[in-house]
Amino acid sequence: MRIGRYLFAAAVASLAAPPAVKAQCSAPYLVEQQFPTAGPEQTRWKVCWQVMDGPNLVVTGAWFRPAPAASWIKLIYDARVSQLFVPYHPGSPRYYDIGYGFGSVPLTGTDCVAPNGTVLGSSSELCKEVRDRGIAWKHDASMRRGQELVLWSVMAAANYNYVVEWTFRDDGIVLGRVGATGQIAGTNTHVHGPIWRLDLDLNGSCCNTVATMTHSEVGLTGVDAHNDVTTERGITYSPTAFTMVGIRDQTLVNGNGKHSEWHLMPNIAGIPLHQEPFTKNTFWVTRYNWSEMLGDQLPAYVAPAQSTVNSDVVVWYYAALHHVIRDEDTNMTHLMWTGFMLKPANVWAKTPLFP
Amino acid sequence: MANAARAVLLAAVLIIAPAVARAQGPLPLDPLTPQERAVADSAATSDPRVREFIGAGRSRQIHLDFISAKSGARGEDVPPTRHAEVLFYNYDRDLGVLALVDLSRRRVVDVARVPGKSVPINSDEVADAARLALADPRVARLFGGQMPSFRVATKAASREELGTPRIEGLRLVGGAANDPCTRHRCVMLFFRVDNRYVQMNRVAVDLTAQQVLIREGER
Repeated sequence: MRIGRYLFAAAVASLAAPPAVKAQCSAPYLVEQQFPTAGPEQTRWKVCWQVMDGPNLVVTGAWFRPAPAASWIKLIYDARVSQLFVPYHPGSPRYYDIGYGFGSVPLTGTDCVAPNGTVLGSSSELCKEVRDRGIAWKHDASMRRGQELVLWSVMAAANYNYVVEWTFRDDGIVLGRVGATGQIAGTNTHVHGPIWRLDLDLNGSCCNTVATMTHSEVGLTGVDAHNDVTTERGITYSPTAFTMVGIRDQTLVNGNGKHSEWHLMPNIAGIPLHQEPFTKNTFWVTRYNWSEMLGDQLPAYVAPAQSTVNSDVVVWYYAALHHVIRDEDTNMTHLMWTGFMLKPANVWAKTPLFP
Repeated sequence: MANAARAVLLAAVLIIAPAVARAQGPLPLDPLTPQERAVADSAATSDPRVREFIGAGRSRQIHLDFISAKSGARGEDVPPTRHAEVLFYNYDRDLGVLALVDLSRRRVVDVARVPGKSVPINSDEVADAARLALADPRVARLFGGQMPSFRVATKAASREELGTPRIEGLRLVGGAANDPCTRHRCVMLFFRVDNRYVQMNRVAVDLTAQQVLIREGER
């Protein structure tokens, strides 16, 4: 009888719940996290992951639910580091640090510490952490702290280890970072340059458009420009323009009727411009092609340039760590990071996680 | 009785449901199973386009893994079928070929060419490079005739292996016109003794020409 009551309650709950996303991956390759972690749900992420030979941690799907009764929003189809270019200042050596057959570095409970951290995967290749992320917002005596789900893995590349990390925050922000650590080789400054391939399928794979957003000063006035990227091309970054790109879907709007977007915002200390043509732009926009996975081939991918309006687009982001050797690097280089933020805009009709 | 009923219900959820899921095969975005890897390998190596490509000259398989390939339908959340990608490299042509295998149809549904410079190296190539280097007297001289008994490492060192002499490798790409690695496929070898790297950036191997290159300290 009690079993009957449980089943009835489960059936009622399923009827009351918003439309579910059909399971696309199974444990442990599926991570689902509600926020806040305790108490009634406000937001929720569902993430599929694989640690692949070569690019290491790949997000093979990510969906965000901005409210318990809201529909899931598809955001990521496939997000990965496509190449890691490491040129040294004398001009040589120049390395591509992604190779096949080297595996990931197995993690232990010392790397990924309980109770917030859990090691996942058949080869202990992933650390899942759920963390307090500090202040989400504050004004005088009213405030709120935020939380985040962090997935990371470690790529072995001879004398370096790279930490490949993806963070999914309670406010819909996604952070992608790569950190370099290990043993230096000599005294020459060098650059570690990851190129991320971000196949963002906002609300599905078809009808997305990317726009550049730039700022300029005209006399006393600040002017922001939004320009659609209509064909495949590279886009340079300007620190005075606060250059970023936004991706929007043709039909996805918030409660105010505004197009929902996610903005790709660099976290940049400097811009690497090497001899190689693929390093000449911070952002690239291409049209989806299953075989276009290599960041160092970007100039070829955009020629001839296809239309990228209301289409299945892929955004690429190239950044770098400028590693100036210090005496402190003598035995071991402490972890240094570079990365970006994907920030929702007009997904909610008002401030989320408030009050 | 109530507790027993709860236990039965819990067992059904925790044991039976996952078992049913496993029996139904992998979900769309799960990693490849060993069986799927075998299917992909067989399909790729028996495909006429791939065979024609790898049949001409010295070549090897570089990589085989899951790929989430789209069909292009509007709103498609995940691909309708599971795919694998298989990458081959031909040294004589300095060219890669990437094969897309539809695992349900057990055949290659598309191929794409990849310029040689963009084809990553794999661990077998590091092993080949190390074999050539260890047989070269110039490399022995770098170690003053006291060559440690190196073994090729293709995985990260475990705690027990940290002190073991090992050779690791990275893809070296040239920049200057007179650098053989600008035109050829090269691996830089990293010699690790007592968990420290020695003779760093000195020994590269040109896999295209099958030659060991002793380079002067570059970093």
